[in-house]
Amino acid sequence: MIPNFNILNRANIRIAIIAITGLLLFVFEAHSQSKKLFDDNELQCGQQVTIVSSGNLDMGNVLKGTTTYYNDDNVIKFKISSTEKINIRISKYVTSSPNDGTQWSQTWKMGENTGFENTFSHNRVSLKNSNNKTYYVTMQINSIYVPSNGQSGEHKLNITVSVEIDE
Amino acid sequence: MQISNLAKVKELLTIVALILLTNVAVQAQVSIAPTALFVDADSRSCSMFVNNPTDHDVEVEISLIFGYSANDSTGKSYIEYNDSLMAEKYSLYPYITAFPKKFIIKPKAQQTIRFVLKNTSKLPDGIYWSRIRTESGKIQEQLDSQNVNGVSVKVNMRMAMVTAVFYKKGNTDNTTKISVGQLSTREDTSKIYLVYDLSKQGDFPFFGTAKFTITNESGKEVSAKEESFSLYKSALKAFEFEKKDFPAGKYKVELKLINENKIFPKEYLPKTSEVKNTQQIEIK
Repeated sequence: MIPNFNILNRANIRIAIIAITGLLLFVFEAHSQSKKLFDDNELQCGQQVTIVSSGNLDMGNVLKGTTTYYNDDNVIKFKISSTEKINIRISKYVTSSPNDGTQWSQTWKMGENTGFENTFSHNRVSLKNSNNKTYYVTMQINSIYVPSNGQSGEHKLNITVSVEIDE
Repeated sequence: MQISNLAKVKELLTIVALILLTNVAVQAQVSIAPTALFVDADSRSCSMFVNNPTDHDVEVEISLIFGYSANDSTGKSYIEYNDSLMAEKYSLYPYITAFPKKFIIKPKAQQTIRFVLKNTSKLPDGIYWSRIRTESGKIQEQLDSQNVNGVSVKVNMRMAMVTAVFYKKGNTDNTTKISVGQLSTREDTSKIYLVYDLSKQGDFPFFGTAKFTITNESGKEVSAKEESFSLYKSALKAFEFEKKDFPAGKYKVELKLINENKIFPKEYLPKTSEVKNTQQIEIK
C-alpha cells in the first residue's frame, strides 16, 4: 500500500509540475507580449486602446443550392480594452461578396463579461466610461445558404468592428 | 485523498489547456496609442504608435476624416462626420498629412505614424481637429478554390479604431461657456438617463467633466459620479445612471461642470470657472 501511495503521489507531483510549468510559460508569454506593446518613454501623453479578435474565419465549403448550419463553436469574438477610462462607441459593418443571393445568418451580441449578455442589433452602441474597461463583441454564424446559381469560387462575409474614441 | 489530488491536478491541467488554447485562437490584435493627439506648435507634428503583438503580418491603413462628438435628439452621443459648416470652420483635414498611410507591420513590431501640418499660415488662430481612422486586418489570401459544385466560405475580419487629432493655433484661450437648461429624464430596462439642455457659447469646444451628486427626499445620497465629456455644439446631452439606484420618488440632482479633462493638455481646456446647477426630478 505504501509504495503505491508514493508512486501515485510522485505521478501527481510530476503532472502538477508540468501543469505549473505550462501555466508559467503562458504567464511569461503574456507578460513578454504586454511588455512589447509600447515603450513607456514614447507614451508620455497617452492612453492605449486595443482590439483583439479571435475565431474561425474559414467556414469550409458549402454546396450550391444548400444551407449549411454551424454550431455554437463558430463564434468570432472581439475584445476591446483600454488602459484608462475612456468613452467609446462600438459600431459594426457587415457586407458580403459576391452579391449573388448568398445568405449569411448571423447573431451579434455584446457585453462586459462574456460578450453574450446583450443583443447587438443596432449598428452602433455607445459605452460610457464605465469602470469596467473591457468590452466584448461576439458574432456567431448560424448558417450559410448558397443559391444553386451562385458564383463559384470564394464567398466572403466582410465584417468590420469599429471603435470610436470620444473625448 | 489520492483520487481527490488527481482530480485537482486534472482540473488544473484542463484550465492550463484552455488558457493555452485561448491564446492560440487569437488571430488578430492591434493596439494604438495615444487615443488623442495634439499637434506640437513648434515641431508642427505629432506621432501615433500602432503595435502588432501577433505572430503574423497585419495590414494597416490610416485615413483622416473630419468629425466631432455630437448628440442626437435624445441626448445620445455619436460622431458626426457630415457637417460641412463645422468642417469649413474647424477641419484640420486639409492641413495635416499622415505618413505612412498604408503599411504592413511585421509580427511583434511597432510602427510610428507621423502627422505633419502643411499650409497653415493663412489659418486664423483657433482650434482645429480631425479624426484618424486606423483600420487593420490580416493580409488577404488569394482564393484557390475552383470547385464548381460548391463554394468556399470565409469571414474577412477587419478592425478600425477612430481617434482624434487636435491643433491649437496661436495663444487664443478657450473661453467657451456652458449654460445649463432644463433637465428631463428617460429610461430603458436598466438605465435612467438625465438629459440636459446644454447651451455653448464660444468658438472652442467645451472639454470638461460633469460631477453629479443625487440625493433623495430624505437628503440621502443615492448616486454620485463623474463623467468627462466634450460639447462641440449646443445640444441635449444624456448622462447615464443605474435604474436600480432610483426607486420611485423625487430626487435633487446637483450638477457641476468643471474644466478638467484628463485627455487634454491645459491650454485646450476652458478658462471659465465651474458651472453649478441644481434641479429636481421625479421617478415614477
